[in-house]
Amino acid sequence: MTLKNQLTHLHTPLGIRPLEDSVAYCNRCGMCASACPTYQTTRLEAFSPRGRNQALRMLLEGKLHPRHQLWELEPLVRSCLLCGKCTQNCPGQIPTAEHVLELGRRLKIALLPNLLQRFLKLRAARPVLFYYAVRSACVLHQAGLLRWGTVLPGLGFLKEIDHWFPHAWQPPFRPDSCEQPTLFYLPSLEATYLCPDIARQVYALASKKNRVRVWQHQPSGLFEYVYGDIRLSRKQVRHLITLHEQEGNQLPVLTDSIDVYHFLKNAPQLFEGFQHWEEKSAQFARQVRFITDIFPAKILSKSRFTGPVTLMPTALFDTGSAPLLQAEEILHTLFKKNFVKFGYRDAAVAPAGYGLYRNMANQANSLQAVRNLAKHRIQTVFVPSVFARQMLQAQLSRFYPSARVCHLVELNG
Amino acid sequence: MKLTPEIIRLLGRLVGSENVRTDEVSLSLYGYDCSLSRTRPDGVVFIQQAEQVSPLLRILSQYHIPFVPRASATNHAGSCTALRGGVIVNLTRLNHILEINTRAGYARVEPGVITGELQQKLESLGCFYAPDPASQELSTLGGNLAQNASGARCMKYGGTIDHVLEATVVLPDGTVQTISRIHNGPDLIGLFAGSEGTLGVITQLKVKILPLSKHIQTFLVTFPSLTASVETVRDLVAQGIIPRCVEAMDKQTAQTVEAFSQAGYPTKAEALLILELDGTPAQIKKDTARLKKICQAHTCLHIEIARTETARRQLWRGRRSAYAAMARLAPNVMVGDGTVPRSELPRALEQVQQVLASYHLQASLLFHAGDGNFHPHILFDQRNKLAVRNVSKMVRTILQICIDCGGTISGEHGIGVEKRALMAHQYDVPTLETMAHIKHALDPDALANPLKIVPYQFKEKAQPSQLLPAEIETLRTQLAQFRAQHLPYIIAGTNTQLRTSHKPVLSARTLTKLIEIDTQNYTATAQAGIKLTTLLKALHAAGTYTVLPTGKGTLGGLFCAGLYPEFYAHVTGIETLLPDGSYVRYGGKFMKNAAGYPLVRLWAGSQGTLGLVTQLTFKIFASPVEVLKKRAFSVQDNPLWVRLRREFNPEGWLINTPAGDVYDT
Repeated sequence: MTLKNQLTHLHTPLGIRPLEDSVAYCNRCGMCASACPTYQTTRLEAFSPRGRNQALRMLLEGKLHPRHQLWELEPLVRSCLLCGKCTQNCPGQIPTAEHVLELGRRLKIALLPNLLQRFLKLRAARPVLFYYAVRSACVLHQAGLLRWGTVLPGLGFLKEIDHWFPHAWQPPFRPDSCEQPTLFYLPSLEATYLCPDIARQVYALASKKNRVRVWQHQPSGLFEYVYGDIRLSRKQVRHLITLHEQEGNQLPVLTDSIDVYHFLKNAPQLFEGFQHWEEKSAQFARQVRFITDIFPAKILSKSRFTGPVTLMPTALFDTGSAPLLQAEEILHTLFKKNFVKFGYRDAAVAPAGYGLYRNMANQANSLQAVRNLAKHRIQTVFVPSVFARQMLQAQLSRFYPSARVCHLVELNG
Repeated sequence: MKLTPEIIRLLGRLVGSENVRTDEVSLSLYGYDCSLSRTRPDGVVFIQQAEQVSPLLRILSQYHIPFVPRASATNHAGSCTALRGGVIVNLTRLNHILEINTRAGYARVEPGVITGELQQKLESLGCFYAPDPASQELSTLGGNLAQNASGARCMKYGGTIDHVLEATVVLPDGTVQTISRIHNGPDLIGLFAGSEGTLGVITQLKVKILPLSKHIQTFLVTFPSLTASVETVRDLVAQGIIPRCVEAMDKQTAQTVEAFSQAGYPTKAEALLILELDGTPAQIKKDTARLKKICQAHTCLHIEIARTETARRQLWRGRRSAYAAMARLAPNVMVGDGTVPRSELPRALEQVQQVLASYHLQASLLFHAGDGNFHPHILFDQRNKLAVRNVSKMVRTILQICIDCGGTISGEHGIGVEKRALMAHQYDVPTLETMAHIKHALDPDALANPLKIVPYQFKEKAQPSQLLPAEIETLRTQLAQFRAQHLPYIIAGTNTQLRTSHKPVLSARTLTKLIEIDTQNYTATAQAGIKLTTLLKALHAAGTYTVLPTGKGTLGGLFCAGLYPEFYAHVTGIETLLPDGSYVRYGGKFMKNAAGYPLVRLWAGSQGTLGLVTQLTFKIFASPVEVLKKRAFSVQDNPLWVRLRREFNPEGWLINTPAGDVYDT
């Protein structure tokens, strides 16, 4: 039974596998490394997906000890950007990103600074309280007092919020209540607190044909899954499933972030061993939708985008999933020759990294992405999540300011 | 030997302490490659600049610490695992392309440059680098040379060995040498190709680049039997149509691949071929018509021509995803690698299929039909010891079939540690001893990648030597007399190149037989003393052609004089009488051989200083080919030649002629 802060089975692209099997499928052929941003920059085995897989394998086999080798193994976990490019390039589709997270859990590595970790824990445990804390921060910011908070350990990131998330201090997104919904909308953390403009646009788009109920202040569990305790993550997904069941379990659940989409699609792996919840989560996962699923047949705002456009498939765990391919098709149909296709290898990764561990790889990879964009004279880059939009925008504003980054929902105006 | 704190300090001072790792995780992560072999080195050193390699090896040599050069570790043979511990010399950071000269047709690179990256860069300049191993996305140019890697294009363009013009190597004692075919003496680039890091570390390469083919035509042809497909390829070569690539797969593989990649492969045919022609549009058109005729003569079921670039990519997608299609079905895939002469391919494949069927393991069969190289992909789980034992047994049986069919145990992947024991099944004691001598000449302390390639205690296990023909026995007796009487002698053919009046001479004049012209495999075997005019006349009479020029002299003389280095790539087999009286047989009628050091290159250009070449097997063609041009004579000797001469002729009775003085330029 998986009550622990660990996973025993993984939902891999090729079916459900015990963790030991999933790791054992790595043939050490090294194809993954040729797509891995961290290996390309460092050329070190420890920063290659093959190395990370083998490290977990040796840990499971008892050849490495979680306590004795903690300091040596920690960089392997922290450096991984969880972009999933390795999985796509791997002949056996090994889910290395999941392995890295599992390695981190087994080593009990805290990926975030302590205070930030607690802050996010607060959001998971008391979402409403967290909301008011953020609003208070907004008030402090307007009064110019927030910068004093940055001296506290773990809150240094506040200094950079203006740079990465310039919309963060906007008034929050307040949707109307809805009695008999036909669709649920689960805004991502970024859309709720940092870029409410995107949440508004998604809501407007979804409301055209549906009665939308917004699950505001409902964490998806993704942050806890990546950074924290998966017991908490399980609890949040269970809560979402319960909410979903209250209106029957057939209504679609829309999300604006491809990362949340990937996480919820794989949610059943959290409940391996709990047959009851496993079935429920599988039913829930089937109903999860991305915004490409609700695009109207005719998109009106094409004329707003001039010059070559592209889709940057920056995503967590997988850069080639069905919604991304669908988005690519939409853009291709819409912009025809003006659409430049970027492979998953060219996809930018978040410059801060999902492990919030800024190594050379992040910077080099995002610069390479900018270089690729400039090479094709791209004017508009579409991305599938708010996080990716902000990260890439910050990079572009520095090195290639004539291009702008748009969330996919902005296609609809 | 464990690394003492003193040695670690010394290494740290050289490359920076952060680049010397002895922690458990680093040691574990540098203990494997793509094979099943897993070891634990004592330390890992990350080389930052090529100049660090020589002092590093000097320190290691001083303390007698073995080392293993390692780049991307994508080999399937266990070539870069540290069997005796020691230091892993990691070269992945030497990844700079130093120069690309499209006019002169070369690129100068560091060994850690990824092959695919160079290809990409060259493509934008309208050029390409011919060797294309399947792992080129990650494998490095240095690794490719060390393993003598080749790929689908090998049939037309040859393997890495023929595409490296110059290399800078650091020997295990720290000596830096630049080796090239321009110098007199044996083809040392050839010896380093396939040496798997056992002779030293490669620190720079100058590789040949070619103009990109603008016109390529790809075909998919299906056949009712494997034999028909192989015979088609044989006839294509016979007609002088050398496709750029010839890839083949059996029915079961085609089904697996099609289910996975939907490349549009027919799944009912027993065999399918993917052929690719390149050249001028007129040439392609002419060859296409001939190709169709030959395929139809062999009752092909269907010929599909890729008319667009997308269709072409679609066809290749299937072939390229063959490994992936298998890799996802089980935790491990054993990729076998054996080569047989083309004419033996149908027989070998039939036997291999029987073996694959007799073991209850899932397997598929892919092969490069053009050069008789096949790769069975066998699925198993490494954690199941019985399965591992069965797979090893199965691979051994398959490779024994290759040996029995006159082939070799490795065409591309090398020997490493996984096939080391099988070397004794393929070669006899003198041949293995010669390989050990090469290793000893360049690495007397056995520090560079020890315990690889040459099998352990091979003298008891190696193949018994075959009986020698009478004329060779006579030469051997003559040689024994010179040695017994302590008479300094020289080796010569008809004395055309080497004008000397020195006596006595161990002469190849008695070896004048043309042994075989094989129009199945398109090879000819002749004794070294045969006159070139006689040889060419006989070949023409049989309707075959060769790259050899007409003129005075003998076949052996031309091969050993070193004035036609392009001819080395045409030689597939060699027999030599060594100064110690032993008789070495290497190679045969097969087109690729990655089993051990390429011995052909040891005697190529050796000018009679390393033994008497008695017999050569070389490629012939069905249509006229461009004849080789003589290269300018170099006054400079290959720097490592002396070491080899000392090793092979320790008593000194074979006179090592100072080449520059007496050779006809």
